Amino acid sequence: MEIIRWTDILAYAVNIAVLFVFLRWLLYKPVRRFLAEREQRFAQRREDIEAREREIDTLRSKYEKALEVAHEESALIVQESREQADRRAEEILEEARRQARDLLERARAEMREEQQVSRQAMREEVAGLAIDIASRVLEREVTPEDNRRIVEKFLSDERVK
Amino acid sequence: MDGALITAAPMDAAAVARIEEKLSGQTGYPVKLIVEVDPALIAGFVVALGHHRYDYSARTQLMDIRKHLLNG
Repeated sequence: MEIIRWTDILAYAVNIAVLFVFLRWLLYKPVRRFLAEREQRFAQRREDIEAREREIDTLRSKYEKALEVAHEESALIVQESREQADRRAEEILEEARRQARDLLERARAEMREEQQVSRQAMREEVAGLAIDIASRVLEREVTPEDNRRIVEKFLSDERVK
Repeated sequence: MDGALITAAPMDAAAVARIEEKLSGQTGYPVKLIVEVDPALIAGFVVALGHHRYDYSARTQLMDIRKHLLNG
């Protein structure tokens, strides 16, 4: 069994202390600097990431807004197109109704005219027939006395015309 | 002044003379009528004198009735 001598322990302690001081002197600041720089880089990176995320959020918001506006505009366009189509359909329908009315009125007018022509033709036929019958009756019935009366009427008229 | 007297049936000379006298008095000129018979007049007579026409025929009266019937 070895005897642990206090001088050895002391020497070891001194060595460790010296080593510690030396290493501290050698490495402490560089390591701290390194760690600080690394921390700074990480912070910068975090900041970049956050800035990028904020930018993304802003762009997303703008995009969603633009999409919403586009949806509203397209809905408006669709609505206007539908209304325009409805108006056009109504115009076409009204035009068709107007033409139908005109056609009906023309047909009625033609029918009235045809009725008028028929009535006139019938009237002419009836009048012609009546006069024809009257003529034949008169031809049979007229006497010389009738002719004499006509002459007397002519002679008695104050002014013949 | 010469004219024409168209009658539905033959007319005696006395009646023609009376008609001539009537027309002479009205126009102020002596009137001489040439007599023609046209049974189409049915009854009465028509006198054509210059630009004037005196229609006392039954046919014309029937035509007037026909015109009245057609025109309402």
